[in-house]
Amino acid sequence: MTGHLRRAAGVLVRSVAIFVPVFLVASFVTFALRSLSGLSPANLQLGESATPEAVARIEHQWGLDRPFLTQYLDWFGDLLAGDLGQSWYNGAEISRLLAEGAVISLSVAGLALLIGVVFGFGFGVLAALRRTTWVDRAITGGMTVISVMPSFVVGIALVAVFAVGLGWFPSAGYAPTERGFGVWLAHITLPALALSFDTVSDVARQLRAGLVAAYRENYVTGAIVRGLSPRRVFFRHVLRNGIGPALAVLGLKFPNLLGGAVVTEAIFGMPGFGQFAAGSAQRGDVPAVQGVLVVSIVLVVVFNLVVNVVLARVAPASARGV
Amino acid sequence: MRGKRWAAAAVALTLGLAGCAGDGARASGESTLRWAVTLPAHWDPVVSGSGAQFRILSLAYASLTEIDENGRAVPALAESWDYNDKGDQVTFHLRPGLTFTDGEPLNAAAVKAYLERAKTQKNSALFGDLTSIESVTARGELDVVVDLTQVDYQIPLLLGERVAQITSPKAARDPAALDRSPVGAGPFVVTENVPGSHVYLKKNPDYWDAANIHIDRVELLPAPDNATVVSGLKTGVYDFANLTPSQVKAAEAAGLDVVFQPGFNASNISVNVNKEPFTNPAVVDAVRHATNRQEFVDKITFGYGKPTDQPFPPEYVAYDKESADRYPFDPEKAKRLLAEAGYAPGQIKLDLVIAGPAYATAAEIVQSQLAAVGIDVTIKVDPNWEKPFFGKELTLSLYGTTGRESPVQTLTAHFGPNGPLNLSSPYQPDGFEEAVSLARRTPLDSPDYATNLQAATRAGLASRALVFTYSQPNIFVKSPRVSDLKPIPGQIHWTGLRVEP
Amino acid sequence: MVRRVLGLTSGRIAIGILVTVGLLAAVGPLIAPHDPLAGTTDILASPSSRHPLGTDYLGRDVLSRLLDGSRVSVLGAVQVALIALVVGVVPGILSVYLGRAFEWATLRLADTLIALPFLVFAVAVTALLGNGIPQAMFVVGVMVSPLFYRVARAATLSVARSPYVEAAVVAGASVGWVVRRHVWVKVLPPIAVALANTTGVGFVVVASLTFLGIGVRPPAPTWGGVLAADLGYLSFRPWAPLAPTVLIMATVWACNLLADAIRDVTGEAGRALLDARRVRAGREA
Repeated sequence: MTGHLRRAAGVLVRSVAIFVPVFLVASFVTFALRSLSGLSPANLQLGESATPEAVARIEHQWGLDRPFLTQYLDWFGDLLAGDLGQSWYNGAEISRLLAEGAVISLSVAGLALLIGVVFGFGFGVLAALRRTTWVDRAITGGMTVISVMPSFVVGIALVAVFAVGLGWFPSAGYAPTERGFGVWLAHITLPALALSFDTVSDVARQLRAGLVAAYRENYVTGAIVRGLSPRRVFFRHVLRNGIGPALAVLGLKFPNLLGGAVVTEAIFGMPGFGQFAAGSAQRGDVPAVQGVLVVSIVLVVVFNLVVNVVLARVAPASARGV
Repeated sequence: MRGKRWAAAAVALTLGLAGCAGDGARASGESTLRWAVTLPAHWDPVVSGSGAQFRILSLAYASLTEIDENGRAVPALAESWDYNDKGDQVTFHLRPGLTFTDGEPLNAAAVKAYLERAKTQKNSALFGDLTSIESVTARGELDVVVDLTQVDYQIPLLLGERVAQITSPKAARDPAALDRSPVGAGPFVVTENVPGSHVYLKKNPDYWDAANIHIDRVELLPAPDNATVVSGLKTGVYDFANLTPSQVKAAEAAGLDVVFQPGFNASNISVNVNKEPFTNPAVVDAVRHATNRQEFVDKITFGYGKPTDQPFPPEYVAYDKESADRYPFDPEKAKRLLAEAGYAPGQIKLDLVIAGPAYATAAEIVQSQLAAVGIDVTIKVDPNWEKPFFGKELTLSLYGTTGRESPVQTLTAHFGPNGPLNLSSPYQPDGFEEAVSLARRTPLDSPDYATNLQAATRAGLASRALVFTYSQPNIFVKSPRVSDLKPIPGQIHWTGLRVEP
Repeated sequence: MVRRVLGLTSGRIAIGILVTVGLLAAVGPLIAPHDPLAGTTDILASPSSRHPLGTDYLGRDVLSRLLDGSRVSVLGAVQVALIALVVGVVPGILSVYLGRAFEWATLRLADTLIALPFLVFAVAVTALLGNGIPQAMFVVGVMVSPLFYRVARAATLSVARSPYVEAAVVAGASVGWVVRRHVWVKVLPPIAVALANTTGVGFVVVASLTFLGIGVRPPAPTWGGVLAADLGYLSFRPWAPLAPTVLIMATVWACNLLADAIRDVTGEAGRALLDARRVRAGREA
């Protein structure tokens, strides 16, 4: 047991060691955006007729006339404490604004991930087990078709067919869980479905390829020769060794889910994270945009950490390459 | 196989739960109105300035007067009012025993404090409308004496929902906080306000007309894309929303109620004559002759609106028939005017700055009409549009009015030197001030009222700052569970409105 | 390699579609039946002989607009792919030869870029730094460059350790010569695959951004912009979104198909496939 724990801890530590510099660099770039953009809260609060004195006063109020590194370290320190600063637009706490939006976006992304995993694995396994038959070809073909559909195209089609046409699902908006679990699920199903297509097709394809390759390995032949049942062979040998690439691709998909949220939230009228990012960016509300970017980075990093640990546990061979 | 069985189970689960959509939502017996709106950026009526937002603010605030279906002033917070003989002083008598939702008494002192704040606060959007008011005195608890700079019979109309939504004086001591969340004496009180996300309100039992308010809760939710509004109402996410004309067909097909609320709307092209090239009157005339109003009516209002060249629809009392069609659609003449002014085709390059996607189609039409006469327009969307527009910094923009209770106020708002809709402030056309003053001095029931109003309109239309395009009624869409709206021009009255739970 | 790809049916289809789209981008505006910017009073018309795809909300011919808009999409997608290529391949190859510090730094940088959701970043950065498609494409190109970095690096590593390269180095060949003669040949096929895939991603990104209204300069048409506008008038023309959608999807599909085709004809499996076909053809001859 301790061997497992120690290996898991080792993976965790190694992953953290990689992702800490990732976080640092990404947060630095995010922060540098303000200087690059040349925007300041004066734009938002004073408009173009701002006199140089008024601008200087406002910038001093926000602490923007201090040297770059001082501002960065200050901001970074606040970040670590969970304070993302205040919006230039309405002075509200960005952490609070983001938390609201994040709940919505993460519900959708979470469900999309679940759908992606369930259906992706389902189709991948099915295609691998029935490889080279018509089932396999149909699934592979289907996955190819799905993979080229951008999430907003899928979203529009889903709304037209299932919400407006058949009336099975609501077409817009978000209902918090307090209004009932069923209602909440009904609202996030269509956007989650739209987001998940990309994940389903990639996971299915990678899993199929991984499983088919694993089936060709010697130890599988050996197991079959030894008389193990096909089910045992599959679960104990093929799946454990073939799952690596699929899990790895899952880690890569999460940024896509967050990115796709920007468009699906526009289509489905959900006041999430993506909408907040787009709106703040259009308004030139730099701290809000920085907050969004930092949170997405953290989410992606954490998600990748989890995937890495699972990967190490389930398929130790792939972990050795980290 | 296994994957398939999982898939089937998941789909069944989802559909089953989807069937529960709309169930657990409403607590039994409580009637809730879910309204999809653009959440107000400002909750302080002194700062807000924006047209349609005052309808949302009227949930939380009560005004001194209101109007009825014919546009006449009726009592609200003020039970009655009377003028002195000369006509330069009007006293409003407030209802007794009213309070704001924070406990402050709603008395003459509070009204005085509000009017003074509206006149003097630095970022007030209302001060240009209050130029007739010299001073306000509180006589006793319930009498508000308004002394005027001139004889002006428009005041009861003026101090309605657009201008006199009374704020609590205690809350007004921190105007920034008041701007973020309202404290008034309206039919509802805010229970939860998360900027950018939602605002929840519940019925205010202390409202002066609370007996006629039959809705328990109001939820304000961010309005989605125009195209998804109808679906949102169909599936019960919203009960009430604004509707663009392009969606009327879809709404009717979905079995929803489409309401054409009468109004005094008029859309315009706003020009700043203090900036090049509009400092040259010939260029402004070229823009006037390049405008084909019918195209706006066809492509934006889908026939539900009418062309207009004045700041109100053609049936309005202040519409001046003499001035109709003063600058007919004539692109050839427009080109000639530009050539005579010394501009080659394509030489004039302008930015048309608009507030958002609501004006996108109109902007594209303006762009193509001006391109046809040789003016090159680039469309820019500015999410912070209010600042440069109300700060008179833009050169060319699009805006419109939802009308005012007082026709004189509409005229001064557009043509007056401090009018919020006058992008060319402090410019005003010659003779306008006198004509307006005459209109103010005319009692509302006088036989000369219409004539004098129209004369004031005529004087104002000489303004080179505005080209009016079309007028469209306010279109709302509501779920059949919501009862009918009273046809009050431009306003939504919450009394009598019911929502089936 | 192109010849080999054309040998496959899938390759022919893919290249066919992409060449067509490229031609549309180049000469589309010239062959468009109407001025894509000219409004008429015949708004939201159904397809007819005069307007094969109908007209939009300002009476403009949809077919002409889609043809005109292909330029933005193609240029944007190509820009993403080329920037990702340049930013990724060079460090990828060099990371094998320039020492451990460089290797570690570039590896970490690649990890960083992959971790970022590029659409959110693209929206944020373009809105803050200037609202244009070229800026957005530059950002996206940089953010997807790790793919090229890893591909180039992996290919270079496999070659660098092979015996004939070691022999060449022992014989006194310079790094540049080794790269040109051996590494490039090995590296080219997977890079071609990545290029095709990235171009597909580029099309989707351009479509998504213009759908959101970023980089749209009215009245200039874009595929995503036309699609977004169609959504507002679904009750009048319910089939309208089909045209831009099919365009976008067909182009992206062609890119992925091309990537698969290249992968199929190069590499071990590819050679086996071609040999098998040649044998079969010989037997049938």
